[in-house]
Amino acid sequence: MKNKEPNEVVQWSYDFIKSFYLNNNEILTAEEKIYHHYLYPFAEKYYSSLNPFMLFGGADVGQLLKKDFWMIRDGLIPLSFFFKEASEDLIKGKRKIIIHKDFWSLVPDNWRKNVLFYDIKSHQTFDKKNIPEQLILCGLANETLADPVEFVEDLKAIGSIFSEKDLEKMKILAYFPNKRTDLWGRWQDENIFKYARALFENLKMDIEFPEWDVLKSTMDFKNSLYVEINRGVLVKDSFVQQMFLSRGAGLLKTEENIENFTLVKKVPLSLYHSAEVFECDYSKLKAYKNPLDGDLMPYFKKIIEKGTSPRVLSEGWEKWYGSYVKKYYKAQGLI
Amino acid sequence: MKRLLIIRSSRQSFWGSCRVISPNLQNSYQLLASPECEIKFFDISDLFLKDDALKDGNYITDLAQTLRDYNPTEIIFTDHRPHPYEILIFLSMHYPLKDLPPLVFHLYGDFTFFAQSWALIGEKLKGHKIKLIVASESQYKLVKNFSNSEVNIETFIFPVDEKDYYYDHDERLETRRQFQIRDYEQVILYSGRISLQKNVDILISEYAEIFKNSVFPTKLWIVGAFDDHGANFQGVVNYEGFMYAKIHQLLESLPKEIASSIRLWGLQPKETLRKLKNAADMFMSLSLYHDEDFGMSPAEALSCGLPTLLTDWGGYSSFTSKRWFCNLIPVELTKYGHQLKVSKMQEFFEMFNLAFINQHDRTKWSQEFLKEFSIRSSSQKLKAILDKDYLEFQGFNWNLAYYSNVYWTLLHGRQLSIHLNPSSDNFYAQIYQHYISGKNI
Repeated sequence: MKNKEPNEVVQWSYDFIKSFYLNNNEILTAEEKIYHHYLYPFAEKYYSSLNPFMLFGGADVGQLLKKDFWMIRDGLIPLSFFFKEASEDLIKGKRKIIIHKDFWSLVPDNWRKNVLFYDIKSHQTFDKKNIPEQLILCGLANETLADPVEFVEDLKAIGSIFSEKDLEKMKILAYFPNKRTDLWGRWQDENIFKYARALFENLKMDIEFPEWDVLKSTMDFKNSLYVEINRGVLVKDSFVQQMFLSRGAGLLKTEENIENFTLVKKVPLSLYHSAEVFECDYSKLKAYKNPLDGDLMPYFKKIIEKGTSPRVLSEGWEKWYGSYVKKYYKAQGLI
Repeated sequence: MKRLLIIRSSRQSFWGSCRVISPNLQNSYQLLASPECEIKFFDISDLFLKDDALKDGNYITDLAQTLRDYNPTEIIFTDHRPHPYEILIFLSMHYPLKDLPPLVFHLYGDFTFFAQSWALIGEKLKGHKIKLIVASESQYKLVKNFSNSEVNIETFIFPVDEKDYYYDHDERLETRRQFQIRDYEQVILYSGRISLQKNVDILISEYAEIFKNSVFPTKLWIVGAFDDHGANFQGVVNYEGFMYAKIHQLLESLPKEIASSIRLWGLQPKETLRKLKNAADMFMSLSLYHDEDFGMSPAEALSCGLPTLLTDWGGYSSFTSKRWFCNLIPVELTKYGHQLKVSKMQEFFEMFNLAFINQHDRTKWSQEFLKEFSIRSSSQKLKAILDKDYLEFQGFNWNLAYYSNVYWTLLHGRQLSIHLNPSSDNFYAQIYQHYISGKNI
């Protein structure tokens, strides 16, 4: 800190506006707007010193090139395309990109030296011994993003950690926005009721479904467990998670294997949670895996099947996102 | 005999301070109940249109029926949401507005945010007997500037619940012991939202400048939730996480011994907040929030007898008095925005040290403040306001129509505005100069 006399006066707002606001213009195409609307509020922006952003979401490449590092919040599918499509100019010099730790295998060999990994950690975690007062379940109730079978599996997993008696005591909130966008067939097909039924059957009948505005205006979620159902297919680091964790909610305690990763930095994102940044020791890991091969295929297949079904498919989706998927499937002779 | 019908929201406000203000205000009204004054509450959902459509109830027809059955002598709107305009406009389909008894509206900081609705109410209720009750002297001047006549405006500062906030010396000693604060250490406290316009970052920087070489061991406690509302009306939009990152980076940039003396407490329940206020030695807030009509958190601090330093801005200016210890930091509007005379912090601190404040001072200041602003004493003030004659409303003037238009465009456009960015040279100054009292205390 500079060694100076205490200020006589300070100016408010002018400097802030000059330095921050005027450089903050982003333009979305119509297709990107549809995609963002679909993912709202999960893909909403938030701020951290790691420069988090969403791919295909109006991220201004010019802005990104000004930064030494940036953190991609996207999930499996957009990230796979990113490594296939993006120019290596983006990682020229010392520039680093940070992706979620779960996606280490997506990083092509020539990108490896410029890729770091993040994981989001809440200071408070919950398990059998430490039971929350409130359980918050969130996600997009959509067959592609949250397979109903996987959803039931996740609920059963929660049921295996907490007893029926514990669940009975807990207040359970569920937030599953259901939107009409025609990205994957008609909105009626994204049937919220079957997810609600799974909730009632696997947890309990007394579940509240608050609106987003109500959740967003609540500032205190201490002693609440946050569970997101989407398994990071499109969004890995969601705004909704950021919001709940920054207001005191915690995650499930998990056993994890980090022996191939070295912690290089811990960046607090709020008083209650942090992002941990890791380097990966590739000598201990398997080689790069083409995300469009092998066991990741089912996720891609689901999208293709939805996109090519007789149902109405939006023109924007067809032109923009679906075309990426089809290109790779066609190349492999799968469609 | 008076029959007051109080229309209130059935749900808590999303604003933290209104969650306290609203019940305190209702309790003050409740105390007016007597053989000469009957009180009836009518609860309405802030989403009454949606609820009416989805549920069995019908708030508006129920309200019309209540008016016919109860035949109130006055109708009082105590909450900021649902907006009285929404209620009245739908009520007019079931009950002629001209047949309504005199109306009382409590105005909140969002008067400017809902300027459009107030401008519309102004048209509907011209000639009707009404009282607009504002929450501070500054808001009085602001609303007067928007009105054709001040005869309908009354000032009533929201009450503090004396059961929640008071000075307790034993609690002070116990809390300081619990958090290992030595007797000679001084604790400066800020409580409230940590948002852009509350200037907590400036408070921290100035604290660091003043105390980096100070011989007085001092701590700064910041209590409250981070809030990224930004300054919408100026087109400044913050993203979630921005304020935390800003404060965190600021703390990282400070010398270790200064940074370690600053503690972020996060959001705390009111019992803990009272304990912290009792344990602290001073309260400071440099807020320049554009809708700072009142100031619940300084009011609670003053209820705990805390020597307090506030910006001369909005409702804060109303808290100065010789009966308790509350000073103001001068604020000026320049063409570049607000200018805060932060050197006042140093003066305040020096004055504090010369005053040798003891438990008797704290107790006296707490009692004096509560004598003025407790729920019980506020109830008497309300009675005095309601007992005054109701006069016909002269309507709002062109300022409000123009302001609402500019404001509304900005809220949706997310742009900078030459009209409403803080400056001494534009329309902003015409409106918000009233938020600066110029009191030199």
